[in-house]
Amino acid sequence: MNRTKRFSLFMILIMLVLTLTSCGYKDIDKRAFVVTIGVDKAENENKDYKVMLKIAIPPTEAKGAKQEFIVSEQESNSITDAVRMIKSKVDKELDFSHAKAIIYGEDVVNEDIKGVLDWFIRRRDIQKIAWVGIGKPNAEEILKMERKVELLPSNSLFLSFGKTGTESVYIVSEYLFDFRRRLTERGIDPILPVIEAKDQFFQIKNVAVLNTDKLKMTLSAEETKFLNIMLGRVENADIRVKAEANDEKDAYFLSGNAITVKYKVLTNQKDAPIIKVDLHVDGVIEEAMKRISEKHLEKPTKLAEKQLEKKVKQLLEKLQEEQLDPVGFGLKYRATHLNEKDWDEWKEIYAIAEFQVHADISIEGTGLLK
Amino acid sequence: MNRYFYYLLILNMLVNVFLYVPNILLRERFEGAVLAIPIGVLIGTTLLFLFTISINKFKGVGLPELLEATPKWFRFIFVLFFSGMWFIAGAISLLAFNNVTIRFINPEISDVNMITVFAIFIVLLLVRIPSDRLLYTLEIILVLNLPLIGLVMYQAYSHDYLSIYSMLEVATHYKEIPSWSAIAASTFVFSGYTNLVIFYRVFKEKIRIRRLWFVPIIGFVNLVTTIFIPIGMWGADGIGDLTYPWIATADTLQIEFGPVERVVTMFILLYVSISMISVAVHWHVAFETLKSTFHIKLKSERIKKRLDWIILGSFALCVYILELNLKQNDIFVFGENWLNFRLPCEVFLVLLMIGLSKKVKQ
Repeated sequence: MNRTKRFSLFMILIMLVLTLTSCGYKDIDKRAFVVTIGVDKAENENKDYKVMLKIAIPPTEAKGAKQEFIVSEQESNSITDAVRMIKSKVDKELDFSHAKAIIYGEDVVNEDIKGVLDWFIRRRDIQKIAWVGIGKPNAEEILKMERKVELLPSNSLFLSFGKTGTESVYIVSEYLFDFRRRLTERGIDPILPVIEAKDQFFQIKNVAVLNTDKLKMTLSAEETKFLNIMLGRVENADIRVKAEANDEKDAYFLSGNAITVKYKVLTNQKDAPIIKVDLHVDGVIEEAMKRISEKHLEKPTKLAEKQLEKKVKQLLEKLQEEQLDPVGFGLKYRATHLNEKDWDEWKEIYAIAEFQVHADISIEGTGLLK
Repeated sequence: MNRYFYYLLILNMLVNVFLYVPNILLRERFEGAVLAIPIGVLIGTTLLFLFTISINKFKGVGLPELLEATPKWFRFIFVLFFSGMWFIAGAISLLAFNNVTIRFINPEISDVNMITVFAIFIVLLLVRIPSDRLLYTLEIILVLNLPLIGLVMYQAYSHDYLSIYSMLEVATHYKEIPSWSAIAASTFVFSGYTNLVIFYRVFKEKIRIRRLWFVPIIGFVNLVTTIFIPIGMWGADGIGDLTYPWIATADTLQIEFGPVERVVTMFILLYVSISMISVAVHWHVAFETLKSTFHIKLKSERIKKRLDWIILGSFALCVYILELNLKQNDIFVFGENWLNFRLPCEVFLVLLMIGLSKKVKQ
């Protein structure tokens, strides 16, 4: 091929590229970044949901900027329709790539969760590592809240759930993908943290346990802590020890670290099935109401073990009564049994199973005081 | 040149994600996919070793040259058929990753436009570069991508939310008899060696068989990762509903202080380059097989050049027509049928190779 020919062929190819007209990319200043998505029950009786999108307004100057945002809302029977309607309200392209939290109102979760989950999983632009939670009394309060400590809109939510900010034993963080896994998997039940709106801030200290379609039970703060320990998601937790088993007065607080949990299901033809839970805690005394001698730690250790065993057992039995299994005993049973009907068997076993909780605490020290 | 053989093997192991291997195995996770993995490793490595030992008897020749010893009619049918198989292998990856690109990177562009861009790019690549330089390109792409893939794997295996019991639950179904589809899918991971039919031409030395001991191990790890990581993330019961299991799984990973937080962005970009080179390798084999068979009779350089353009042009046209007619699910069905059909063809290819090596020895 000579030069002119090669050149003309090259030009033809370049011209072919010009026929591929498409401008898919919209500039960053033409985009509205959604940071949090909220779903509440609609106030209008004919509609199902109220969908709210918290859209961050980027500050023009970085120095001394205050967080600014708008919450755009729409009532509709489906999330798709609501989002389409919101699109007609904002002048920019909605961008969900920064939507890192999804808040469901309490009323929505009380009824049916599967209906409001499908859209979030199906859409490619919703990240599956978004945090999911329940807004109390509703999602709107949480979305519209202006926290003074926040520099960026919704940032305090992300910090609370992620491990970069606060680390609290009362916060059970749930990713969207893990929430769906628990919802679909037989043998493990979904959990969601409850975000409670206070005056100027919100608090996350309870966890809600769901069955396959709606909210069944909200645990107290202390129960939440023990569930978090059972899930193996926290390694450090404080354990409150009372002077006597039925006494109201506290004896001392133990700052536990390196907490490990093991559990197994023992089934024997003769006896009732047993779920055995072993807890191991290494701890340091954090606060003592009565004097504790460094040399005589056996008694306070025994006391702590007994009370921990009792509390964990109470929590597990409370969950069992409602046939809820957020820890995943059922999944473990399925994973360790080869037969086909292990799930049906498990449902019968779990109804009658007995819990045996064994705690093993070792007090490593008494802190800076003897 | 020995290391290029490993690259060809690794390429197939990586690209299986886009050739629907995880989709097929995950669909049958309770019906024999677990047993299909060791069976696949066994069949795959046996074929691999038989083929490599046979081709090792020769030096610096490709299959088209070896086929000179066979009757003309056989050669004609065989070449046409096998280059078709290789072409479809490339076409399926191209269609599948085109689909993914549109879904995840640029939803506004039309499918047909996108695939035209990809097809033109690959055709221009193929018409220019010979076998050895394609292997160099492959090396560069793998060297750039493998560390990042290692990072994704590390993130996946060390994830706090990876559910071991979900994975074990699927593993307890190991007694089920696997289906043909599952076995065919799991053997695909090993079939990178078939590309030697052309690339062996540029191999200057023999392949050291002893050094291939690691192939079954890597293949096994690869298959286990392919199906068990998605299960651990999305649950044994929930994984069946996902259309792109591995992309959804990449979206569950997070590098909080990385340049990009969502691993899925990096994962897709990685896979665009890996699929591109895989399509180029498959089409190169198809192209060269056809070329060398037709070129033997032709004397004129100009006609030869023109023939090259006709072959590559028809490749691009075929993909274009397929894209127009196939929807997301059709591509999957097409891909699965191709995988199922590929296994007996591969066995036939290996038998032929053994036969040829015996014949030449006599």
